[in-house]
Amino acid sequence: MVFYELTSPQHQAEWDSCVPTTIKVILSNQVNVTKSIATIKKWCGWERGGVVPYSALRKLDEPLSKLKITVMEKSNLTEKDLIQLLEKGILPLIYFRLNYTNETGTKELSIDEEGTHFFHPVVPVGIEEEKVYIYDCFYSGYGKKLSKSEVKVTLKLPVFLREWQHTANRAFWLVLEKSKDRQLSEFAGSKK
Amino acid sequence: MSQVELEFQSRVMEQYPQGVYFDSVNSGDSNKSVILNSVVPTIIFDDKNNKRMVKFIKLNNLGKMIIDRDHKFIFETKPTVIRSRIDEHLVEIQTKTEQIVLAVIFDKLAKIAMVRTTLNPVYNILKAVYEKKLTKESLLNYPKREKYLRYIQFLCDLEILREQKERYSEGNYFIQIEKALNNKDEEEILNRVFGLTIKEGKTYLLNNLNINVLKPFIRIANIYYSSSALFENILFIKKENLYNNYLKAYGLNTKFVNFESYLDQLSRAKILNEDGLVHGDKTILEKVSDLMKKSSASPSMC
Repeated sequence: MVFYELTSPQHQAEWDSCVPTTIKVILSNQVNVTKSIATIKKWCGWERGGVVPYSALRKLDEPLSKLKITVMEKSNLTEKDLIQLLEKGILPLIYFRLNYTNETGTKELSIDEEGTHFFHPVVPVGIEEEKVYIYDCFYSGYGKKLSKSEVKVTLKLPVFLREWQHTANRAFWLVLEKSKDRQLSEFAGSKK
Repeated sequence: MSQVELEFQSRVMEQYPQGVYFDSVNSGDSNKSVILNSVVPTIIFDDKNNKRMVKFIKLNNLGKMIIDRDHKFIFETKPTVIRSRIDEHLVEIQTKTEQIVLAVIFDKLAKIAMVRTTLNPVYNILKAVYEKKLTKESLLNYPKREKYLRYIQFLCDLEILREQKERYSEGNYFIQIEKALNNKDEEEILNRVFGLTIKEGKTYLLNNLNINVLKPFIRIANIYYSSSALFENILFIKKENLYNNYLKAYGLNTKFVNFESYLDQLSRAKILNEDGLVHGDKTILEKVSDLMKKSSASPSMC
């Protein structure tokens, strides 16, 4: 069992700011870097209507390199890889189809079937046996911390893996350069 | 997903904004291609039940990608082209839904004090014509003659007035309304003609006579009713949520206090109701939904 308790999880203020919001939360939690949404939007090439999902994260590499942070990405990962990342205090960002939330039994949200075409960032923050805990900024009403009992989205592992397949099990994550070699060798993550 | 589908999928996510997708891979002799479409989320609030619903505006045939037998991408519509096509479609849809909402609420809109005051010259002209007092000679004594002549020309172009040798009289539409409201009083007839003037002349009023006072009322009503039409029910929305949707949809920075004032006047005109939560009128919603189905206009970005 692994669980990463997020501090200050945020709800996206606009429908098209999900990626910048998720990046903001990852930056402040994992590498203690606090940046405004406006700055992150600029970094990842945000335009009205959202970002280009993969290239937005690669674009972070340049501004983050000044802070000695590298963006990693890799496909064909497994849940074991995610567990290893979380155990090292690393938060993976993955893309799910927006209507995955309909699988969670949530009553707060209802997303129609066209949501299969809209990819949305989520962060798996915990995995235990057959259950995956997810931070999703599309949900609102977060408190100061996201403890296990306050997580708004949990998915059964098979459902999680089925959704993840739609992006070939790809994940993005940040590493501090001083620890990069160790993480690179262990995960064979590729830096684009 | 097949290997080639995953290749296209991955490329789409590297090149195009969120929401761009393809339905299926078309196989040619040696190449394979996909047609690019897009979905744009529309978030609808149901604050009475504390629920958010997401529906999607679908935009088809925005571009294309082709891959050759060596799995090399040999054609891709430029991402900037895709973005501008999405924007164009969304503006087109917003304009269409505005026209539909306006067609339903025009007579109520005419009762809003701010609209009535700004367009008072139009109302005065209609009244003078109805009372057979608008002669060309009398116009010579009007203090703002040029302005009045522009309004009169505009009303003649809409066939609400008709120019005669020595005076102006009711045009075809004015006469039809008089006939339809045979037993009604003067004020009701004039209100109906005035509303029709706003409905038929909206574009001209906004573009040529610079009557911006109409815009916020039409836009707020559009934001509310296009959402409700998509939901197929009367929505109960927090004022703040409606305000944020209004700003976002139209790229505005209107102050909340001004928005509240517009909402208050829409409420007095019985276009929207406001009692803690904002909610609409069932008859208006039915007419809007009906017209949207007939015109195949997808609701606006809300």
